[in-house]
Amino acid sequence: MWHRSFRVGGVSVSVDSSHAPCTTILEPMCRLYAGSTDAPALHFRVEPVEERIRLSVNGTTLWQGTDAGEIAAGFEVRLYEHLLAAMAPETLSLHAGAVELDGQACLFAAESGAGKSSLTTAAVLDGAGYLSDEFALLGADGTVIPFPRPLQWGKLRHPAFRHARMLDGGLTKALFRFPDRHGNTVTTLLWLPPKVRHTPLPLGIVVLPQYHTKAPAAALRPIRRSEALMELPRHLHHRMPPEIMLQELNHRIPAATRFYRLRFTDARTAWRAVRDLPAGES
Amino acid sequence: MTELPDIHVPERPCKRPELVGEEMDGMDEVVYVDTETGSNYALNIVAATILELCDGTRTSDDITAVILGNLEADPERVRKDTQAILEEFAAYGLIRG
Repeated sequence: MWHRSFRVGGVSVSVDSSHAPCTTILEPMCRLYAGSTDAPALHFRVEPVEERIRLSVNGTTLWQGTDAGEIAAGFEVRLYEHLLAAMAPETLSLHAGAVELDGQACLFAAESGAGKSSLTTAAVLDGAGYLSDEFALLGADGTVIPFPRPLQWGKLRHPAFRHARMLDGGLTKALFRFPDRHGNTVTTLLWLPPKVRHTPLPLGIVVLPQYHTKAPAAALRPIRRSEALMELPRHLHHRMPPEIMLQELNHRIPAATRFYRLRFTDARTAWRAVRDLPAGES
Repeated sequence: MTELPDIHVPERPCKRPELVGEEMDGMDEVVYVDTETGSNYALNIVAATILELCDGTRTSDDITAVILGNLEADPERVRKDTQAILEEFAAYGLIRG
């Protein structure tokens, strides 16, 4: 039996697995979160039942199958769903990568494919503290609460980052495979950064990135708060009326936060442009 | 060349009730969300004040007078600017009669 207790965004989680192949995948998935000794609000269990594997939360079956990767993928999806539901409305999640920059949180908020994970990876390889590649948790006090799931690649290769460079950067690699709905095998790489932040950081910079093949290596320009706040609601993971989303973001994002739009083709150059912004420039 | 349609500013313009404003922290700006369509509009503080003055009872001249009471500026310029802003509001569907 493998057991892990951790906390994300004020929600305590425990995970038990008595299925060894599942444990092999779940362990790196859960490794980066801060440990917890509190009574769990969410108790996930993975166990063999007859010829199948059962995934449950708080005693309710979520998934049954025969493939360890499928169970692990199901666990990951349900973990995020349950966590986001349990931490709202005190904590809201923005679809964004989050890293530490000069003691503050720097967010890359964008749709999938816009390059936020590449920018987060470039920052981590440059030594930045890691908060999340997907879930920027906005506290009511203007801080970003870490949600350090492993960095994930949906493919074995990344056009910008070679495995050797990732390993040289101190990241640990894990992977798992699972069948998709069409029966094709999907491989997901998990990269575990070496420098993970476990305490909330004040939100300092929000970058709205867009990878574009015809963009320069990196073009970073400041934008007004209103421009950013008209765009950010679409990146919230929660469903709320549009005026409430705007109010929530306006109240949670500190007045001193700086906003930038970034068009880029080179993630490393783009990260350096963000990293080298003069402190307090607006 | 396509002619732009005439923009009609109602005699006593009224802000659409579906518009909900949120003042940006630390900025002289207000973002309005149209709760019916989800569209957003960012207005500077003077334009936002004009929009809030559109309550269905004031005319354009009434609104100009209120602005002039709070702003040291050339009256004719304020009148023209207020009219231009109201025309823009009408064009974007932020006000109605």
